[in-house]
Amino acid sequence: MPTSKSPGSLADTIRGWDDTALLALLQARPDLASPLPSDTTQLVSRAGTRASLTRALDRLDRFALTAIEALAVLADPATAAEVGRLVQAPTAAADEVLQRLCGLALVWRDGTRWRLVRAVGEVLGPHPAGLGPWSRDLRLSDPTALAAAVEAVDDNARQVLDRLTWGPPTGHFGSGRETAAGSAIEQLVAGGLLQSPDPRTVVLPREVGLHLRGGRLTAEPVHEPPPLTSTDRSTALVDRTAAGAAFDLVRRVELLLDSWAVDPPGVLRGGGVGVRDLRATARLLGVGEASAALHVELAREAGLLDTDDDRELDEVWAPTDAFDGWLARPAADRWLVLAGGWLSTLRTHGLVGRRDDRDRLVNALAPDLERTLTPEVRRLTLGVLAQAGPGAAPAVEDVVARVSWQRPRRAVLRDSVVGWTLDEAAIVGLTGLGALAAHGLALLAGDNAARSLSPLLPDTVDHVLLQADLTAVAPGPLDTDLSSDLALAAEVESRGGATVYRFTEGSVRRALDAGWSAGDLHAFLAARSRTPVPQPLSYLVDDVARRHGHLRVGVAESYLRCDDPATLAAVLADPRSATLRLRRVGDTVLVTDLPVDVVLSGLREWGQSPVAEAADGSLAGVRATRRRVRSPRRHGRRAHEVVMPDPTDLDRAVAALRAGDVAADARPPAAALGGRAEPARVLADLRTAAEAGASVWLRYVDQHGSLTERVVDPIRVDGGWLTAHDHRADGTRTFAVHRISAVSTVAAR
Amino acid sequence: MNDGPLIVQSDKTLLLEIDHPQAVACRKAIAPFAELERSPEHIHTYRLTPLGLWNARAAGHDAEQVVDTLLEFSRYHVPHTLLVDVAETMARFGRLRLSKHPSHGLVLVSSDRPVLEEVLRSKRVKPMLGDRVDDDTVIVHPSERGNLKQALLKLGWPAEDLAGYVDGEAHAIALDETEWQLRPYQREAAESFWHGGSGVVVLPCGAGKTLVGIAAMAHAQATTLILVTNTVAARQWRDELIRRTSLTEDEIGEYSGARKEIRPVTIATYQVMTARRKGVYNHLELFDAKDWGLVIYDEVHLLPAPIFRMTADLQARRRLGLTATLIREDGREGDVFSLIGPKRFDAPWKDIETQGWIAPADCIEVRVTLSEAERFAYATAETDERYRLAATTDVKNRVVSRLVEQHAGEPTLVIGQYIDQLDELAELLDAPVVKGETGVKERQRLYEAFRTGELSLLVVSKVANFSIDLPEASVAIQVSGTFGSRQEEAQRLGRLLRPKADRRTARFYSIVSRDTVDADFAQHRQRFLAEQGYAYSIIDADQILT
Repeated sequence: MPTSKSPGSLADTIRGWDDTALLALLQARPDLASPLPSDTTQLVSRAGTRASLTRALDRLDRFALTAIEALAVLADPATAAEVGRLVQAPTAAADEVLQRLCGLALVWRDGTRWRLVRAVGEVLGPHPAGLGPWSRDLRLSDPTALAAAVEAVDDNARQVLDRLTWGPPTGHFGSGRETAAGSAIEQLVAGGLLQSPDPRTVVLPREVGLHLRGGRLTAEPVHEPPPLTSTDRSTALVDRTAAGAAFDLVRRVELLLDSWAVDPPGVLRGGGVGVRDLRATARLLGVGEASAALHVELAREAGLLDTDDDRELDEVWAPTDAFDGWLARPAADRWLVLAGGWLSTLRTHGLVGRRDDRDRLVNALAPDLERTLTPEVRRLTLGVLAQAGPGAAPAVEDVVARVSWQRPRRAVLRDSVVGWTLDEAAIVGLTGLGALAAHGLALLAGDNAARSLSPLLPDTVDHVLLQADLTAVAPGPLDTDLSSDLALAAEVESRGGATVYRFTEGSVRRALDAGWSAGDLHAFLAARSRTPVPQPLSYLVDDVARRHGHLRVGVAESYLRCDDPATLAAVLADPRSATLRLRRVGDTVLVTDLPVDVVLSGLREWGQSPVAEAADGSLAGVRATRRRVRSPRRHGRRAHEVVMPDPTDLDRAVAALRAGDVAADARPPAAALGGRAEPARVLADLRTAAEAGASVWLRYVDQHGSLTERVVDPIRVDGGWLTAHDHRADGTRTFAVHRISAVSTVAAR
Repeated sequence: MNDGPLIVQSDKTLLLEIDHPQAVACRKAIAPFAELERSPEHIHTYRLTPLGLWNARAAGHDAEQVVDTLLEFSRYHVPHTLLVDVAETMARFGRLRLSKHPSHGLVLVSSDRPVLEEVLRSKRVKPMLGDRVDDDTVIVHPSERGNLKQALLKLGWPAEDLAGYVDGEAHAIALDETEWQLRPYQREAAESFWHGGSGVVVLPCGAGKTLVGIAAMAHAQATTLILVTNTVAARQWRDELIRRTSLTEDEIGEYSGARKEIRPVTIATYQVMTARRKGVYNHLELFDAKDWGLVIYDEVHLLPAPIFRMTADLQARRRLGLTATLIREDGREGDVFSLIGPKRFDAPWKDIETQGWIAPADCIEVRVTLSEAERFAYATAETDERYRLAATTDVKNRVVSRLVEQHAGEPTLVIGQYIDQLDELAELLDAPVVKGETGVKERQRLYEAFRTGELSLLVVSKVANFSIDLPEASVAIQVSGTFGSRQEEAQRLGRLLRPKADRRTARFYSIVSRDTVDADFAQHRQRFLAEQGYAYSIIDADQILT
């Protein structure tokens, strides 16, 4: 934890921390650690950049954010009690949240008071907590006078004030100054209760806003997260339902990929898969289109599906070779691959089927579905379910409210993502009846989720029940061998916990085509059926087998034809013909797999005089191939790659920082050396000065190349430019940071 | 994991393993809401359909029961979406109700205002409704009661009809059970119907549907209109009524092409009701000729479309539909549901068979091979001639005579589609033939002779398919038939499925030409019969001929 000594700046504060506190900071704000800052000064400098602060503020909950706003609103610095009053929280809670914010390097303690890191105020913008600027109007400085003034306004004016009370504090109006509202505004501006920076704009001064809000920032207290109302479900039922959904997910992904292996959909020009293909997939899977899109996306996320660009024809989506490996694993492991992918992906599946900014339909598998917010909100949402406890199914709007409390600044898409997460979690099988299942909790905690799921999944069965209506019912999931054999010899009629197959002439023929004999089929049926094989089924097999192979089709490179069978017999009998690999297929026809020119020259060599026939109509095998492409090395960015640095790296970062600080202390001042200071050093010094409100001396190369020296008060450093109050010109000037060759602190302002 | 007998598939089929110890209990529990689709020997397939679920709602089951049943018996998890779907579908029934308002008459009442708003916006429904009485109640034009129910079903909001019925003109009808007894399931079926108001009773052929109708009439004690498929069926109904009830011949009228009698109990044929002159149905007055207390529709699955339209206007009268199957080849199951009523009773064929009420049957397909000449003729024939060529091959005649020989003395029917073939067979077998041109008198004489055992062999065309009663047929040989439609097979099998005195197994032979369209149609037959749970085997003609 931060120590309570009284340092003079944030940098001093951090230098006073122990390693644990420093490590905690780098964990909470990982962007500060990459690349490694050379010392604390640079760390603080980086912590004060707009990008890093935005990221840090985005991750604050509503209480912490409101506390920050309170510091921004109050005349900085302020005590915990003052902050507590403003945010309607007990002083202890306020103190605690301020400590927490200090740990994040957003505020620091100056004696008994807390100071906001200056750049935070800039990130918050001109109207923190929706309050306008201080008016500095003396009439408003006395609370009693202010109260009286507000009390005195008429109803119209009061309405105007009410509109602006909870922000935004600025109002614009048209030309109608003569209207009732217009006169009300004039009255308010005259009384100082409104300011009018230009004729069409009014601003509610901060004093008035605070007074109207009753001296607090928010309508309701925010130091506690909003409550959850939950329906209690039996945990056993929740787990079973979720496990059922998990099983269905695995089953449907398998079905999807099996089907796409044979009949792969094309890749759209903009990437992704077409609406029509998705609709067909939804029908195939027996789910809605949104759910179908999720299945497709998860298959890709798991590396089971990718584009096949090796082909000359149009690009298609097809299963990867990893699919085969996946199929061979137990169902629970297969699920884990899919569910783990879902949990961490940045891809926001809920966007599929909606219109984007340019009013174009967003397709599944389209490239631009990644949103950094999604995995975080997804985890938060599931976290809320976990907090609700086992078997508790919180109301959706409560979950939305809770997540919104946790990430108040991420308003874009946030509430939608919460809703999508809840829907998707049910499909993926993390939740059942709206409550988080045990295996869902395990996945969230990084434990072995497959182990807790596995006992809940139906056991595989190794037999079917054959019936006289030529159906076979598998009363549970089949082992892989049996299911692929059955899929060959019968059509699937109904899927679910059980599978219903139907034997038809076509399906039996397909099995025979694949090289089975009637005997094989009979043996297979007898071995795998728990019930006697019905007579009509045996009859069907024999009946189809009887006709099977009546017509023969084969491949030959060339043929040898002669109207006289005796000549052909002679050719075949000649020992030299062995090299031509001739085979008799009829009395008057021989075929070979050698090309025409070889056969021709061979025959000519031993004295025959054949002629070549202009042949076309060569036959080719037309079996559909099950396509596989190479597994991709990466499938888009994963959440943890972005936000979760390796702890050992952070340890190293802390050590490096310490070493850097020692080096910095030992380094003589750059100015004294007369040479050029390193740019990072310059930047860090300028930021420190801006933060501390100190004046600096700087050496500067102006546009004409001449060296000048200035004493300035830095205001902010942003995008390579220093904005500072120039003492010599007595005005605000900007300096290109790369032109500054040396900086030295002068004295506190 | 549960070890139940039921597997719930995500495509809404339910697979029931019947050898499972809990199978009987499970079947009882799911029968009210799931339609039995196939019942081969090991695994029965049921299907959840909106109509099935609404039938269950009409019978007083709620979604919770259905969901509980599925969860209780299911071996694996039940897909959550399916449960949600069941609950939502069932919740749609009864949000709208038709009832009698003390001052406004027939009204549509809603317990869910948005639903009412939705249906009021429908262009089809709007003209059938009158003024709005209050937020939840709209007046219905009484003449539109049936049309409205049809339209609402199409919109997916089937209305529950609680508006009641007119009693009709009273007429005493008593069962005369001195020489016979209603079977328990017949009694149960009639009572279920009576308590439900209107609806359909589903019983297999040969299970005595006529008696269920008669029992229902005894409940109603009112004038009754009975609609049957044809004249022969009409006569049989009349005979049964005279035999089983206190009704006398004078009280029963026949309204057919030949006679136009209107009596307290009137039996009319579909044909006469749908006959038109100059585009106008000229027998519609029959529906208003008396204040009918009960209308019975025999063989509902054959009910012609015009009768549906007429039925739409009969909604204030009690309606009983009798059928062996709710499946209609034309897919108008929804109209049966909305216009006649929900299913009130159902018993699987196999159950009744094992109770001994209908005979078990063995189905045997005999494959014959066409001669070389016939094969050549077949290969070069036009597509529309092919079936006839394949179905009427001479080889079949030899097989038939051999089979008839094997079953000499047993009551045997030879059934076919082509008159030439039947005449030829009749001559070959020296048996009388019943075909379309055979007069009603002659037909009845032959049937009577067959029934009494005087005649043991009869060649019949497809006219015999519908609603005749041949109690002692135990062998049927089918030589040709129309494309193996499910309905026809049910009828043909029905010929055989009458209880035999000696409880012998009935045999149903189909003779099929190998490698032709005939064999393709036979596949449909095989599938249907096997799905119904009948033993089915295929043999080669050589096995019979040698």
